[in-house]
Amino acid sequence: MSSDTRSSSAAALAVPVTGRAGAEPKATSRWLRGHVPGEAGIWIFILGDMTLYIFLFAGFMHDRMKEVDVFNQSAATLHINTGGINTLLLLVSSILVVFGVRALREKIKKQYAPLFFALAFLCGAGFVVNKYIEYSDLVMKGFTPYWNMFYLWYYVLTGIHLTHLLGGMWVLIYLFRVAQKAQREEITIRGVESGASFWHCVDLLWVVLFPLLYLMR
Amino acid sequence: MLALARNAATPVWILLMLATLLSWSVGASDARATFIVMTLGFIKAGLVAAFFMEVFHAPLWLRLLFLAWCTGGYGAIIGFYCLG
Repeated sequence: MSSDTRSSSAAALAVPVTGRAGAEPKATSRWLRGHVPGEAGIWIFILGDMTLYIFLFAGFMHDRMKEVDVFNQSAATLHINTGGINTLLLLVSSILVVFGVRALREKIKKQYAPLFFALAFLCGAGFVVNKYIEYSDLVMKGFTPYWNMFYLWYYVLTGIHLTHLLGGMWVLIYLFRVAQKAQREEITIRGVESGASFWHCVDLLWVVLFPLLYLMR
Repeated sequence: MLALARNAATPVWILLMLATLLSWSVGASDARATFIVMTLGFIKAGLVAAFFMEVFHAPLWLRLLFLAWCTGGYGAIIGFYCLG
């Protein structure tokens, strides 16, 4: 086998960066037509996770129903500004991830993709710092999970979310490294889309948690 | 850089930022305000799914699952809120 033949075989085996449209075979059913970003497995995880949160929302509201005044008074002690800043940080990180994925997939300003993911990571780090400050202040004031049902729910809901966020930051490091690799060679976009979808899921859950915990009266 | 921002996600992101600032500044002092901020919260979640997670371009089954999640979550929260 000549070196030319070998290189063309390798090129045929390499999975290229694919755009949103045209990557999948065209489905005739409207149920199947369209593009599912990333791997199927990530969507099973995301949808399962989001379903769990529905039960958590329902549990929180069910307990709130029994002690409305306690929940309202406790919610008033939370740091609304911290919650608001964290929401904005996650939204900024999300649009940066959108730009990063687009840069890699559609090869528009591809060289900026690592920067977008790095900045998104910094936004995530800002969220963690804010959360640490908020947790520390609440604990110093005695508002631990044992204080009342509201605080128990507050720490459970935000704690699970924070775990997801830390996992998402690890995913952002992976995206950063893939974006760096994409500057030198072809990459598969499926993994990038999967990681980005997970990060957006972290954002999606927080935009509901913020009004539920901090603003509801 | 502008080429990257020329996308449906950019105006949606501006809308999400403005909606967050609105909810944050107004807060929820009573039931009506709570209803507004929770409705805004789920609309924002739907927009994140549709335009950031690209569910808008996804097959119908995935779009319906997200719609079911938003409806179920919103229904559970507002339902228990009204009962309380």
